[in-house]
Amino acid sequence: MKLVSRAYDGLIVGLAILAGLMLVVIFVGIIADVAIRTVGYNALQWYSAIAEYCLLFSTMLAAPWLVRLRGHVVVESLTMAMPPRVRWAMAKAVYVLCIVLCGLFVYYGFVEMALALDTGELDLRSIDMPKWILFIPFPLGFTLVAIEFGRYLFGFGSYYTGTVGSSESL
Amino acid sequence: MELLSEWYGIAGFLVGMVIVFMLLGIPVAFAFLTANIIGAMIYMGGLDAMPQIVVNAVESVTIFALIPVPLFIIMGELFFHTGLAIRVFDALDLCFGRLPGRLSYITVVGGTIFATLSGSTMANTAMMGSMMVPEMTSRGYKKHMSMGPILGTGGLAMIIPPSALAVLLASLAEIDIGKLLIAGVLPGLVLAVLYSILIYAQVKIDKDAAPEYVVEQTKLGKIVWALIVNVLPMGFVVFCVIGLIILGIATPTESAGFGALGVLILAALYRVLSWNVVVKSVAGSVRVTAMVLLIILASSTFSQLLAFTGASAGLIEWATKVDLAPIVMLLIMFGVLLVLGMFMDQVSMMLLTVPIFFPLAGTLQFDLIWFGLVMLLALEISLTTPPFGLLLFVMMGVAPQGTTLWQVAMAAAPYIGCALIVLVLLILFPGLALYLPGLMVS
Repeated sequence: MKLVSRAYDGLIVGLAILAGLMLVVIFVGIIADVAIRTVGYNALQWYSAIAEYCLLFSTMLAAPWLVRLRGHVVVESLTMAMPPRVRWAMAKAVYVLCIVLCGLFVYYGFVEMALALDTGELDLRSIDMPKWILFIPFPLGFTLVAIEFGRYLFGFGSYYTGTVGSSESL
Repeated sequence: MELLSEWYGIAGFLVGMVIVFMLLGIPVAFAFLTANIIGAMIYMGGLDAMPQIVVNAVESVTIFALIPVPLFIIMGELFFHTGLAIRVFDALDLCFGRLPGRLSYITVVGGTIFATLSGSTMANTAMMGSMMVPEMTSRGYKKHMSMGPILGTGGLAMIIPPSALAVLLASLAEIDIGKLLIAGVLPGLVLAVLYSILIYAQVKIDKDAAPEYVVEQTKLGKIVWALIVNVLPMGFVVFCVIGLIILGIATPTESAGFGALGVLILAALYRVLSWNVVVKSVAGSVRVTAMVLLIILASSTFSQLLAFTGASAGLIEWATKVDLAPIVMLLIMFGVLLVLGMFMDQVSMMLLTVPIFFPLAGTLQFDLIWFGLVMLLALEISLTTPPFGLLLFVMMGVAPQGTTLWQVAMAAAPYIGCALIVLVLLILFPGLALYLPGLMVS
């Protein structure tokens, strides 16, 4: 059991690292694109499509890690004023709601992915990509986000920090 | 039930759902998802709308216009983790001699330089707060002199480029990102000047608010050298972002990349670039980027719902019929943003209001770049409005023990006044925002 738990933790952190590497790809890619154009070669045609995909993939791959770090913005101004038992019940209800929402996105993400695979539809960008690739992060990311909320639901601490403001914003 | 079929009922229902869900403690991204799904069930044909919601979500963040967001965030993270920010303050510390209120002025000047190098209001405020508040407290500065300038100047990052929030706003409103970024330069600088005038007045009124203290005399040569070594090179990064856009050499995305590269090069030259710094910066960037983009992804169907149900069209029709001067409509929108900002974060506010306000602004024949800047100004002010302005709580985290929220809010109040003066200036002289974008080489 301990091994499974450690492997799962490794997966969450590993996906977050992958998300970070994708941001590095976006950064290095734009510099390389401009540099290559400046010395007279053709622009990296694939860059914009890959960068756009990286935005989606890095968001979804880091999403479970953010749930664990309590990094998704939450407004606690009203819940903090609730009596502790009501607050506890509200928190549990929110976890259940989030798990249900994730379930919907996992299911419909799969449906859309299967449909795109079946029809062989292409995603027309600076380079054409098979459209099903676009839907991969939904079943993966939302499944793990649901598991992370499940951990809070079954007693692994609370998502709520008891502070009003979040320091993680723009 | 009839009410829910009228445009105002639909708009109130959709917006109200998001607000209520947020207040119930549902994470913002999931509050939008819930409202979208319920809205789609009612107005878009039940669960049949789910595939469309998924497709919208996927398409909402795979947009090239959003690429500057992570790049500006990486730039700011690198700037802070390398310690380049501290070098700026150390150099400025030598420049202000025994000027009464010197630490408050240093905060405003340093914070304005920060704002040209980092796109994160929260990070700027936290950094300046942790650096300057202990120093000012130990020198006997009153709370409004120590916390006020930090709260005011922290918000400048939202207006002065590089501003990740301006990129998001322009992207959501489908206006020129480069123009909105550049439009913030002059109003941001005017705001910084007003902050300095405010400090001057506060010290004049109450000399004890910022007690003078003995400062070691520094030779002019040493001051000039410190500025050349520690502040002037930052101009290179500023040029990478602002200069390249104005000169038409780079797109906002490319300039964001060069801005981040500029900070990396400077850090390497100062020998403060390490593997640890890079890892921390990337980790911080992933946190903020994923958090913001998940909210964008989750709210993607919201504007479609407003359009599909006729709520947007109804509002615009009402606005064209109602006998209210455009300026009054502008002030109403400004007021709505301030109220929302009392309990909501900036990204959520934008996602709720952009689909409604920008079509309305277009109908009222406002210049949309100008309107975007007015909106950014409202977002900046709302960060420091009690009871739940986010910057107030960032400041509470670094303020001395025993500081109350009321004291922090009172320290911020005169700076809100300065921002309102800039709003009046923008209304009277739109060129304040539009002059620089007009110079941009296409």
